[in-house]
Amino acid sequence: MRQTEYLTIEELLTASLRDEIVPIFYFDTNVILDIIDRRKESSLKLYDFLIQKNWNMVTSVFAKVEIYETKQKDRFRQEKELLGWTGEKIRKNIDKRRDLTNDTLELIAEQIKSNLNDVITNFNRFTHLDKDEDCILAEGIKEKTNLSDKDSIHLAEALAIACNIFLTKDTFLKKVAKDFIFTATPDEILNIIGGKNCY
Amino acid sequence: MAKIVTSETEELREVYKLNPVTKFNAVEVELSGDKDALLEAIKRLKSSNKPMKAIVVPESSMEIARDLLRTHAASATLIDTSGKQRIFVSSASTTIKKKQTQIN
Repeated sequence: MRQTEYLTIEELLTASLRDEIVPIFYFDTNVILDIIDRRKESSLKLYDFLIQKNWNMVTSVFAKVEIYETKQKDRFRQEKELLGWTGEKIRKNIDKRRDLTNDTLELIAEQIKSNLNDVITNFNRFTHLDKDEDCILAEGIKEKTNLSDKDSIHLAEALAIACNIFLTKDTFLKKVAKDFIFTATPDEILNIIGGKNCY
Repeated sequence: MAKIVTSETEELREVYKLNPVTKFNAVEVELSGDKDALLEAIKRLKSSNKPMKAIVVPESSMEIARDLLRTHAASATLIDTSGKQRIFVSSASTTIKKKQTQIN
């Protein structure tokens, strides 16, 4: 049985829309944040479309860690701005000398959990990063590219699962990842499927 | 003349529906569970220069396929026919660890 080889993301999506294939989308953290914070319409629109089509959505447990990191940083920034700290002082301290109280950390965690759980139930499964194999793959990617450690882990996870499309809004990650996997922003995916009047 | 559709063809179609071949993915399907056939499939995968390599086998052959991948220092994602189990095997790994991703 000879198989069709999909050479472009457009071909892959067209076949998916014809129900010839069921694609797997990997979500980078920035797209998940768009969804849980309801901050970007295109990400939300695509997320709803994927649920409706019953296409596979996956991400890494590492995305969850990154979401905590982002929210804690946001909170730290807000608190220090209220205290009159300069932007430079905040930047200097945000990674090394964060001093959020246990109560604040708990509050952030509760908010994340309530927002994230609704979204994540529609994902196929968080993958686990405590596996040597994934880390070896991430190490290999880091060795060959200028990606950050975080982005190397995301890309490694997508490749380990054998995903079809990597969704990110990070321009640099997108540029590097496109040598390994079909990579696009939610807007680009919507443009392709929207052009086919599918949503 | 009517096209004869065998159950094997149907099964293959379903497997490729869940695991499409793309510019980036090489996919080998080996449903027989035969060790020699698996080895041939692994060799074909190894010779592919695509960044993602996947081999689809019945669940009962996952362990054998993983051992063969390790023995022949091949990196690939092992996928069962339902697409629910996905185990990445790295050619560089020295310990036996498995990765399972449920795709429901």
